[in-house]
Amino acid sequence: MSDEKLMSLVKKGKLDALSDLFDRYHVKLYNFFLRLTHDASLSEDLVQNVFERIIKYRESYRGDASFKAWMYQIARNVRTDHYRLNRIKIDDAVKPGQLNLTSGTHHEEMEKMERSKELEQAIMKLKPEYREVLLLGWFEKMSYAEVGEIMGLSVSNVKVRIHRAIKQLRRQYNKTSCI
Amino acid sequence: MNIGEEILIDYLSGELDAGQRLEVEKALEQSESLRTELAFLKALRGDIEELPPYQPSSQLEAGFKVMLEKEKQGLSPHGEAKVVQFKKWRRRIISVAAILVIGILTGLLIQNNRMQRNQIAAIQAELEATREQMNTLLSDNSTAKRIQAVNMSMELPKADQEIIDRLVELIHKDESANVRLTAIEALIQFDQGPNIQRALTSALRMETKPVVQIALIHALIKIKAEGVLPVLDELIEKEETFDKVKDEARLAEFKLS
Repeated sequence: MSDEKLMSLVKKGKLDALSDLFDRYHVKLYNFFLRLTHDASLSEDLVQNVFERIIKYRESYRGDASFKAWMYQIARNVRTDHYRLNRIKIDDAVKPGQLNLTSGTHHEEMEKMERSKELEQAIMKLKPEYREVLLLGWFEKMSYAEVGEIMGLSVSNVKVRIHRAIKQLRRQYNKTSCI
Repeated sequence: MNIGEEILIDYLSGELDAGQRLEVEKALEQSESLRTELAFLKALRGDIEELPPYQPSSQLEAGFKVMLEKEKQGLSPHGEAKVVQFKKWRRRIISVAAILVIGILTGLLIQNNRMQRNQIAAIQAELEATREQMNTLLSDNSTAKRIQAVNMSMELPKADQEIIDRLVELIHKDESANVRLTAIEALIQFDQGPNIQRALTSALRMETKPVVQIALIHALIKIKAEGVLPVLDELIEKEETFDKVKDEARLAEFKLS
């Protein structure tokens, strides 16, 4: 069943349908928050808040709209509200560094892990507005229009940010490691 | 159309119309450098797409299930009735509990002063005994004994100024790197204030052993000692600093600035 159909059931009060949406998206949302905040426990709280808000505002979901875009809009609001309530600037909140990647033993796996670590750190160094657009556009494979809808930007604005994000990323990320 | 990095990014993102895509593909056929550029961007996008997902703890799913169950109960009329009834009872329970708590607190308050005095005396006695043992062990020539002394301090619930001063002294002066490492660990367990930040910063300036330098850098990051930044600069500049230490110093600068 499509995300939109499941969400329509939730809207009608069949809350069990939310379990399927949770199964589909909680890891993705967790990774989205984790890469923006680098705080595992905060990221779990934020994911929980997203699903609480989905229930709370289920009446406002338009059946014809993309569920994924609606959900990420909520996710952005949840994160912004968290920082506003705690009086933290989003830039200040980011603590780069020690995400543990799954350990592997083979040389190839180790190399891949090392490359992923470098890339994570390079993404972490991007300006927050570029990092977010890159995560949605290239990591979540959303179209510029979808990213624009989520972030409240025009398609041309998204385009500019993606271009700048990649330019910045190239400067940070070791070029040889991805060819 | 002038084809460069930006057009190739849009091409890879599937954001060009059919005519533009054809134009890019023609240009790619003719230009080796464009093909290299596209290969790089493709690899970069591939690396981003393949970033391993981190798994949240099982608490997240458990929390979601609890939240969902509560919401489901809230939706049913039966559930609502229960909530209203419970609210009435809750008020009564809170009133009775408040009276009980006030009574108990009055009794406890009388006992409390006596107990506090006894506890303070016990902590002071423990500190005194530990300090004496530490002093004996620290004056020993054996490294193991001095490490034992530091470990002993770590078992204390809190340390007084004299113990903290001894630990700072060890970090600066002890000849054994292992003793210095243990003392760093102990020190930041007790105190992370400005004095300790300064003490660890000055120790880092003097330290020559890479392993201890790295431990000091990690400790300084942990206690968010922003004042260490100039010393990190010095370390990075110094030719004799080990590469690994330089890397850690750069990472620390990034984390602390």
